[in-house]
Amino acid sequence: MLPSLFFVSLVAFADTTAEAERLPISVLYAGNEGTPYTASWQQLLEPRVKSLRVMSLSKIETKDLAGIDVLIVGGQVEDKNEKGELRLKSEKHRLSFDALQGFPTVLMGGQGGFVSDDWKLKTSWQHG
Amino acid sequence: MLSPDHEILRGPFSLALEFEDTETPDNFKRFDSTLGDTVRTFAIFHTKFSEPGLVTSDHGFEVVPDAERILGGINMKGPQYAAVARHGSFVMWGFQGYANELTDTGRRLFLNSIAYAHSKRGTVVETLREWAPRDALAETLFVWRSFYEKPEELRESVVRTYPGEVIPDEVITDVEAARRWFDERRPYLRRADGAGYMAQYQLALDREVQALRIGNADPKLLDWILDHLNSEADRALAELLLARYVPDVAAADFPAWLRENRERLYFTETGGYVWRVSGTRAKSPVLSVVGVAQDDPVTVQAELRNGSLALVLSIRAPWHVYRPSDPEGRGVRIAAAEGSSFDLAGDLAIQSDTPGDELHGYCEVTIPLKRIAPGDAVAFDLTYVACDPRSCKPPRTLRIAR
Repeated sequence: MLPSLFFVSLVAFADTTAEAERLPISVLYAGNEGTPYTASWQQLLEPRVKSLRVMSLSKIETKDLAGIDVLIVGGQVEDKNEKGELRLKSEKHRLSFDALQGFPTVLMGGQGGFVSDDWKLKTSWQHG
Repeated sequence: MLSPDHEILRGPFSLALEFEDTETPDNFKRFDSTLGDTVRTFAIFHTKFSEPGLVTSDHGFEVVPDAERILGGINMKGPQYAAVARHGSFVMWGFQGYANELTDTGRRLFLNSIAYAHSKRGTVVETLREWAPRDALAETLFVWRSFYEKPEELRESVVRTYPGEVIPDEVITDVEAARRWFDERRPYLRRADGAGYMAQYQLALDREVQALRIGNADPKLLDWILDHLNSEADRALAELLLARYVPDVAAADFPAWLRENRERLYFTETGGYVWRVSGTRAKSPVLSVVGVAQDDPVTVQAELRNGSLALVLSIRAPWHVYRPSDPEGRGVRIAAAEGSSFDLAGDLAIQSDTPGDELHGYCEVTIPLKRIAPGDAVAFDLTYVACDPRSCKPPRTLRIAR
């Protein structure tokens, strides 16, 4: 009995923490859909924002930002080529800098850097 | 911390920062020899993730107040590089890892970053990072120098950034001589000409402003141009410098433009070594590429660079495309499309390490443009055929547009 009580109290603690850290903000998280990495960010964000939508970065179009307060771009950037060698990969996307000018956006890690490269932002990977 | 009093550290969620002393990385000391043996840090993640995070250079970052560096981090570059920063409404969170590995502080800081981005709705980017700043050459000469084992490696690195001049031996072998050499050129450096991919990282010496002894970032240069636009002897030079440093303003409009904007002008290196009016939105040189398929073996990046259309083709092995000279007509082609304000004004130039008609891996395609109509519309069709050793895909046409 003790282990399950402990589990319940942990869950309750987690919910309380999330409730105390809630942002009144609608978020679109653009990552690598269906991966454990993206799932971990989804799990963090879902209880802490007003609403969360998760999409693959490659599928997002500007119209998907309607009703969204903040766009978050993330994802894993390491991959292996045909020979099993490690390489960096960037998810292709269709978003343009001009369309996103002034739109609140968080660019996370390496994938955020690749998007910064595409748009020539100062937060770019190429100048890192 | 680059900005220890920043609002991102104050809310909306409070942070209980638990500092620890972390051994100063050797590379930090190469940038700043005055650093002690430890730097103060706090943990974002419980464990180190296998993938690299991102930091970005401080060079030219805060020249225009459209950008700010907020937090640094332990990294393989320098102590002033930023891991958390903002450019316009874009907030960079450079840390990479699984969300469930965040510390309490890391999680709250991340949430604060989202709130901070939200508060910047409508804040625009004024200058982009299109060209290497002068300090890129200084960093090569004075910081990276210590990373190279052989003088020739340093020379190659300097020439990559500054290809237009023979570098004296003493600049390579004597740091004080290098400092004098750089200081003599610093005020007169500008972006290199050329449309190739490497041009964005290269600097050139502006011999015209050097002869005037007026640095290109000195407002006196604008006064010199104003004073000489109507001078018989110097009109051509004044017009040349105006086109180079204030490219968006016609000579006839320059006196009124300068009178109206003098107090709001700034000089940007990364934005193109030009004078601009504060508050003006950046115009991206990046062109959209329409018609991309996620599984296509060819990735295309396109932009306008120094009056040319510049494309980078990344071709995934074992695929290849063909040079325009391919006798079977499968070569890369570019054609102006309806509605474009620009047309092609020359032949395709292709830079690739691959000999023969096949293009493998990475290649650059550039072609000069000419204006044929008013406006900024750009529309070109890029067509290529991708083949592997066994078969070819049907021709694919992508629209390059703005």
